[in-house]
Amino acid sequence: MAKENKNYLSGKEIRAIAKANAKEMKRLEAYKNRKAEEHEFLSQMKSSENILEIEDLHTFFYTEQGVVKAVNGVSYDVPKNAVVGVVGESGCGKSVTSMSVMRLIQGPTGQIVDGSIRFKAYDYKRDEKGNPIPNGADGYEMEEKVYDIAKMPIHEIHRIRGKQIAMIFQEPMTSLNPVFTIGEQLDEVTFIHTPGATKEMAKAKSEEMLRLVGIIPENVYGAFPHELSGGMRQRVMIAMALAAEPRLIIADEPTTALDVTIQAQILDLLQDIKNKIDGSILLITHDLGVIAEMADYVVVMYAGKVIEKGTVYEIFQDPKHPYTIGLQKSKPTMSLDDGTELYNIPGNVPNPINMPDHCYFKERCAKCTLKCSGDYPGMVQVSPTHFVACHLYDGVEDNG
Amino acid sequence: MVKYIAKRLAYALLILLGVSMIIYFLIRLMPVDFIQDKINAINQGGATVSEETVNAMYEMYGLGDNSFLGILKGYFNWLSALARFDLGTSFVYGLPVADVIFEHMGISFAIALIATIFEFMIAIPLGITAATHQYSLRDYVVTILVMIGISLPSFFFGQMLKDVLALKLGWFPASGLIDATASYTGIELLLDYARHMFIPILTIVILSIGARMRMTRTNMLEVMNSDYIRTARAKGLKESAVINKHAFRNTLIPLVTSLAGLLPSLFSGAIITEQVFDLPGIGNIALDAMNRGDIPFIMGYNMFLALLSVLGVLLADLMYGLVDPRVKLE
Repeated sequence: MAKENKNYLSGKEIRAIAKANAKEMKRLEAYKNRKAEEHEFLSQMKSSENILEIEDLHTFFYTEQGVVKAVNGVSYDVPKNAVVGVVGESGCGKSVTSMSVMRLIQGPTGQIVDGSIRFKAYDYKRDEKGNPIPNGADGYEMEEKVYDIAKMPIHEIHRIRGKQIAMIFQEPMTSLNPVFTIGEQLDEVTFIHTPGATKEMAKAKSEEMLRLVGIIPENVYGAFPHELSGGMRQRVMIAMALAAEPRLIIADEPTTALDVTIQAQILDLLQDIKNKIDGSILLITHDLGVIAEMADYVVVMYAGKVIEKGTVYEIFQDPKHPYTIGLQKSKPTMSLDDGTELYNIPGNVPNPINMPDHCYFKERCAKCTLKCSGDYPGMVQVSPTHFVACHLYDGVEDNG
Repeated sequence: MVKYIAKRLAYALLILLGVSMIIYFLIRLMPVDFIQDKINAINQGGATVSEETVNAMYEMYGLGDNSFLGILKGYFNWLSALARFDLGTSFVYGLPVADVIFEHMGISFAIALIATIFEFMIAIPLGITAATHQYSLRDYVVTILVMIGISLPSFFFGQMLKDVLALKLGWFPASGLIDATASYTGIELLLDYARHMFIPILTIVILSIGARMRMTRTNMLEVMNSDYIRTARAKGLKESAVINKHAFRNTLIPLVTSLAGLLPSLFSGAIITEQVFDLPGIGNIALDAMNRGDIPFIMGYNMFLALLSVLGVLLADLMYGLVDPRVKLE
């Protein structure tokens, strides 16, 4: 860590990094691909109210320049039937956290290094051999069990993906496979997750989902992705996410790539779906407006760490962390028509490879104190639901 | 669609006309003289040929006038014969060019077809494994082995295989197409062909796998990093289904297109390999014709390949429209 601040690496340093990376990547890949009994990745929830609990998650990327700690000790919960919004600027680790939940981090360079992701799944009850037990009628016996997704071997992850947690991505233009029709890609979800599904069943389900997202199935079911607009494709992606009736939907900047009118439509749709489905939504965005409209709880991330979390009311009405306050101030408003320039937070995010030991926001912070040069601040509870990681609130803890 | 093909064929005709003109002029300007060689042979036999006879011979073969107009006249003679579906008579064989080509093409085509099938069957799975296990030991081993394959010159590698497998170990015959000492029929004849063609095909396959494998690996890597593969994984598909269905269908697009581009090489013959193993394939014959200035044969052979190339490109475009729904042919 105590390296001099320079912009190049010597050959010796590059080789040392490559060697250290290779060793770590090999260890983590082996762990990812290991064989494990189910009980090894079963866990218990801290609170029965939650559907997802992320605790002390570390996701690193082993690059040629060094280890990028994209997610560095992130903890937050997603309660049942709630919308949790995660905000932060580009590169703060909000997407990487959600990708970690789906185990979609590209190996071998990207790895979940430490922490746990506990998820309460509603899954098949399994016999000793790991096969689902039929319940006599037309289905299988089901039970609630808590998986620790971070500890799951990668070949077991299909228990989670799609069926339990579905994901809507940022890039609707490229997220659908160009050589298969919309119908084929939608039907696939039913085929994967419903044992013994027939072609007719899958098609009926797909058409139902398309109608749910406001698409007339007759026009779109047989179409190829390139024949649809971006907004339509995102609707299809949402339909695909809903098809297996997941308990949690992760929407990773679902409106970023769309133009403003379509953005509003998609948000309305998500809002609508939130009321219709029996599940939670984890909404990742850098748009505070979207968060204010949709979320019940807000998590603010900065440089791979959670710096503040609370209910949407607390974060918007009573932001504590100087960064959150800055974010609020840098939001353009219509009333700001008096010629004043839009506020921006000075400075840049520190280099992700050589993070300082003190608070990552120190250099950009207007309220910085002497204490800020010390250790990284811990999470302080300022109300039963409101937490902040800032030295300014170090003494306030007990009144919560 | 029909209109599109008709239009493309009309263009093809124009291209072929240009190609034939260029090839004809180049051949006529080649520093090889079939007549002179023939006269030299007669002279060596002790007889003498008079100036008049020599001139008459040049006239007879249509090579009398080597000025620009003379060559142009020769070209139009060739073209008008072609319009009557006559490729002319081979100087060397004294047979119609078409007959010579078709007689020797079979063996070359059989070798090339079998080699290409094996090439695709081996290179595609290797490319996919190398891509899906990028930077692993498996990737490095496969990549290094195929790079060795690409780097070996065919005359050297073919000779080496022949030396080891045929001469030292004696498992396969060293050259030729059939065993002249035995008269096989039916299935035995076929087996005899297979034994003779084994080493040539092995040589071609090993030398050509590399390029195809590299191509598959690159395509596959590109596809595996695309967003729709992430979507397929997020759906809950098992990794094998992600690779074999979603990724492979997309990798197939450039592969199928390259397959159509192979059309001329299926018929052109492998000149060096056929030389090494002394096979009477079209490549061997064409090289011989080139050395001896057999103008009608070279013209016929090259035009045949040019036609196949043009058709191959058209076929590639049609196949593109077939495997990639985004491509519309108009």
